[in-house]
Amino acid sequence: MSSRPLIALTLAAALALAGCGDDDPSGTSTTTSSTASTAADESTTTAAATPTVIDVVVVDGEPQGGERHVRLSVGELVSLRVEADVSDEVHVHGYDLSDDVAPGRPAELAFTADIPGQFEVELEGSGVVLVALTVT
Amino acid sequence: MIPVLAHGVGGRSDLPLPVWLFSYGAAFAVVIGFVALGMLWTRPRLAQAAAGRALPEAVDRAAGPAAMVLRVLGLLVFGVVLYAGLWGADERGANIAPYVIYVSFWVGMQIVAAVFGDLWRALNPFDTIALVVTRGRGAARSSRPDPGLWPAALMLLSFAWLELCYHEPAAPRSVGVWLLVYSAATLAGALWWGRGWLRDGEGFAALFGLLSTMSPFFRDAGSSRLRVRWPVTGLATVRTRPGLDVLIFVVLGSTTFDGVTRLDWWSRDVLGTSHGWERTAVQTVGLLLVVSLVAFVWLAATRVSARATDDDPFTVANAYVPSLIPIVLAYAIAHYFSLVFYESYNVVALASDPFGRGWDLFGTIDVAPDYRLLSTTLIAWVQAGAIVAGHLAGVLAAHDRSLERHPDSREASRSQRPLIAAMVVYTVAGLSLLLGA
Repeated sequence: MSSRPLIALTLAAALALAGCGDDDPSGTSTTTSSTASTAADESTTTAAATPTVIDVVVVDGEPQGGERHVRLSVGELVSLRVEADVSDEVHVHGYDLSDDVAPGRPAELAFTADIPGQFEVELEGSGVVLVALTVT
Repeated sequence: MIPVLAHGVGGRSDLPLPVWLFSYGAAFAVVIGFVALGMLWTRPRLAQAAAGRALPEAVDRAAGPAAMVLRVLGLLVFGVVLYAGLWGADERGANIAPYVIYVSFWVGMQIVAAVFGDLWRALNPFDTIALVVTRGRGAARSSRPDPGLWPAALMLLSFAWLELCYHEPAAPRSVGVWLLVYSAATLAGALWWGRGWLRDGEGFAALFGLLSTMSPFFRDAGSSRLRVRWPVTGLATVRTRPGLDVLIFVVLGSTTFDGVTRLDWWSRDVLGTSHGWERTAVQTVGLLLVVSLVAFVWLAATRVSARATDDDPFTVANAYVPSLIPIVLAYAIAHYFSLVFYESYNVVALASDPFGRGWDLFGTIDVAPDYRLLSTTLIAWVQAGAIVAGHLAGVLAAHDRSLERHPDSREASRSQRPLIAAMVVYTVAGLSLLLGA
């Protein structure tokens, strides 16, 4: 059949395409962090000394600098601090943690990012998203 | 109270697909496409396989009472959800309506239909109400001309609009009002086109009916007996009706657009800080553009295919569109699999307090999802696997249908090529949306 050389060519191209994917560093790091539990333990012991600090200042109901995108590793300690000029409740979805915030009374949440996935930190009342957390 | 996302139902989103998994998936999809052209069967087989085998008598006898149970269940859930939506607590996380509608119904029922068959036929509350009201008497169809699936496509578009464009989709009141309006429209449709329209003309009934053709279980149209067949073969039995392609474009386009809204580019550069109706307007334009784009790809491909075989483009577009049904399901699984798994825990919890009154009817109010139950690796594989599997099923269905329409295998090959290219485009696009960023 005349389509056989075409198939062979396509197979070769497809394998080459798949081969290119392996070179991407972000691709390999995603798999190693989700399969190696020892790596997570190591990152916990090293991170215990320095939690990742996320500072957000809310002005006029919106986060200064726009919605923050933060990447975390599973097991990392996080210290979230939100200052606002409005009274509301800061809620970390997925982890289901919340703390009230008011002018002069910042919200402070400290937790371990032990659930992988993408989560939003939002002001419950207004629905404004402050931080988008990616935990891998 | 149950935690919910700003844009909808759910406490967490999936991580982006690993790039290597995307690459292998895309490569595999391309290979499948071309293998289909060169190495598959040369005479149509699916229609014959779709006849299947009869199930034992005992199963058939049990189906009657089982259908009754499903009818009662469907009506009950509909009543609870409608009441909860309109008069239950208007707090996301305290009301069962958004969870049942977006999780159990929209995605859950799609999967149930594809795996277990057209259970919606019995669960359909509109059909049950119609049966009770008319006591099974009177004509199933009115004398008015069959509108095809155009009304169904529009009705599903209204749901997609609520879910993806409206700025408060997860608010119980939004769900309640939409359901009320939708039910009124369904009532109008039943009055205009007859009771039978509720089974294959109303939006969700039409969609679940199409998806159920992939299931091994089906009811033979002639003898009304329950039968079993190889999965996916039932696609050969899908009747082409006017508007079928539009319905597919709407459903595929809406899930695709859902993927687009999760891109950083969309939320940061396109939406920015817009809120309320301004946000709704932008999202609506986006949804319509994506649906149009999905339609464009298919119509362009079928036009090329029609030219190659001296056929009418619209006939070709409709004739082959059933092969997109597996891709519709695959997109739904890829985007919503983890959501259905995790948020079902919340449905169980809210069953104890559906209206947010502080009840605990079944003792399940404290049931909560453990977001660590599914590893992100597993989720990624399910996502990529579903999309590639959907692509494979679609390619097989298209191949078989081309053999039915063109007994000459060379002509069949010419007719398939652009369609398979379109499916590769959908598959690779579907995989790339999962990459996020």
